[in-house]
Amino acid sequence: MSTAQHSVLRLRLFAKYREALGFEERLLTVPADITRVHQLLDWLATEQPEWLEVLTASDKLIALNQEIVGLDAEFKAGDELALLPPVTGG
Amino acid sequence: MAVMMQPACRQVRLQREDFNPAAELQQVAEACEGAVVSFIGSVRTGKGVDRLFLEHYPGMTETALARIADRVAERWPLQALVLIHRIGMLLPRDNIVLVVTAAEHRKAAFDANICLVDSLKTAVPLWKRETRRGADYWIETSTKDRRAASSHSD
Repeated sequence: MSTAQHSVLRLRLFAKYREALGFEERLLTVPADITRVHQLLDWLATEQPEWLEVLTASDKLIALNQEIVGLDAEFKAGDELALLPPVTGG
Repeated sequence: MAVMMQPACRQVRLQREDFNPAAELQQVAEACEGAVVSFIGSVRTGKGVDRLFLEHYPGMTETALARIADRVAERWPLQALVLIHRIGMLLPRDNIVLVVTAAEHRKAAFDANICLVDSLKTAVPLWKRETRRGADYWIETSTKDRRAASSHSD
């Protein structure tokens, strides 16, 4: 087990989420006791209330290191977490 | 048991530049026999659309395209599978997507083609933004598309 106090994650946003929050990518320094996606979203909601509209979007997809995951997925330092709006290709 | 049978003629591409549907189709027709089905999606001119921008997630989008191609190739006995999707800025009537499937019999070629097109709308990180009369709008997923894609799940 890591004894580090924080882990650093790369958060990426796409399409309308990027435009809504006004950035494409950001490094997040996350407390060590936050290890799952749903915990991260809850923590961000209190840290960054202005991101709420994206954090609470019920139809968002979450990609961890470019794989779609559920809210229960576990991440580690250095991971890339992306919030994706519903896709509209084709 | 899932035995991966890849079609002899397989092309999966994500690209900014246009493609030539006739040339792609010709290539498949020459290599295959039986049934060849093609689908071309293009930018609609209605609703005062000035242009269409297609955003992707570099790396993940390519992987997702390859995956839907793998899944379809496992499920239907295809001789050919061509899947080309464009990204970037497009104009009305521009090509967006080409899907060609070939099999010995028409049902497999049609079913595989529809499955690929429906999967593009739900399983691949691609987002469309329309510019209409100077204002930008992100396209929303329709329930119809989601239902169509889930109808193919095993």
